[in-house]
Amino acid sequence: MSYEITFGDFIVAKRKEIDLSARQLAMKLDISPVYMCDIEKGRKNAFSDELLEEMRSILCTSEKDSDMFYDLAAIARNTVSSDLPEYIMENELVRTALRKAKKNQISDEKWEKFIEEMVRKTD
Amino acid sequence: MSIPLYRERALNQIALNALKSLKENIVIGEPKAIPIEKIVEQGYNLTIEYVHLTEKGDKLGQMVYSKGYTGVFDFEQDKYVLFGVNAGTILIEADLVDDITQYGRYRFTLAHELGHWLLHKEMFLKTGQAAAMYDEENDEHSIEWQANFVAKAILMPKGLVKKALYEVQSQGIHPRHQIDYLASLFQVSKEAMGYRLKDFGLLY
Repeated sequence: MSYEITFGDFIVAKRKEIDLSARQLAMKLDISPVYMCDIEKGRKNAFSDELLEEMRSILCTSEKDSDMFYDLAAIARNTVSSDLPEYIMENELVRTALRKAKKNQISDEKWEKFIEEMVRKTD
Repeated sequence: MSIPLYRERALNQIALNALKSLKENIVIGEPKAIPIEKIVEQGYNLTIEYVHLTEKGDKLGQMVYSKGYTGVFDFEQDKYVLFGVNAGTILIEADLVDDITQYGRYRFTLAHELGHWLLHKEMFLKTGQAAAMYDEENDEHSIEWQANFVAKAILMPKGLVKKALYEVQSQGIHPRHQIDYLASLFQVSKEAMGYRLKDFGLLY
């Protein structure tokens, strides 16, 4: 999936929605305003999972926001979205499925159909 | 470079417009601290960034009028480095925002730089000069005075300050503590509040 905005842009937009300045958000997170500013501008991206989780709990109210938050943070940190590794590593079938999808170069269309089916069954 | 002339009435009007730049009305009602960060970010869509402007930390703020590069001090490399910034960015000295005892000064610096944006962007953009370059001392003195005027009018609006002063006077707060009380209510320094009350002829 590709996004038009950066992780920093997303944080800025979300904190403005709840009327927080970068300085106020930094205070809530117990980090320096300078560090917060660096994260927003994409100059620092080696932040911890704990900090990420605290940020998410303050800024994201919906599941959709949370998903986007994890994905954008992962892009910024050049890693896998931090809500996923545990799930993937706990389930061998998930790993098998992902490897097969990769090996067979499964198209977006097929993935969408698969997701649709999965959601329909669980609903 | 010629400086624009503003009469005090015009400067007051520009400050009032800034106070009205937000959806909610902050000029009427109970006296309280003006949300200057929100006015800067949401009222005018400007960006605030915290950097070390100088090695000594003696320059508190800088308005960036047009996209480009500016020098900031990098303590990790122990030297000045070029720093890319977008138009409409207020750079604030990192030491200032990190020091909570300087909160009033931090807020005044933000309001001062916003003042520059509102008053002097055309002047800087027309001449194509870098944001922090001033040729003549007189010019600088004058535009600094104008920005300070707008800053104090934004952070300490006449109506709200007067209302708050009458309230503390009626509560019987000792005159010696009135400035302290008002400074902490409006989240400005005691010096700034003292000057403001003198402006209004409310302090003798």
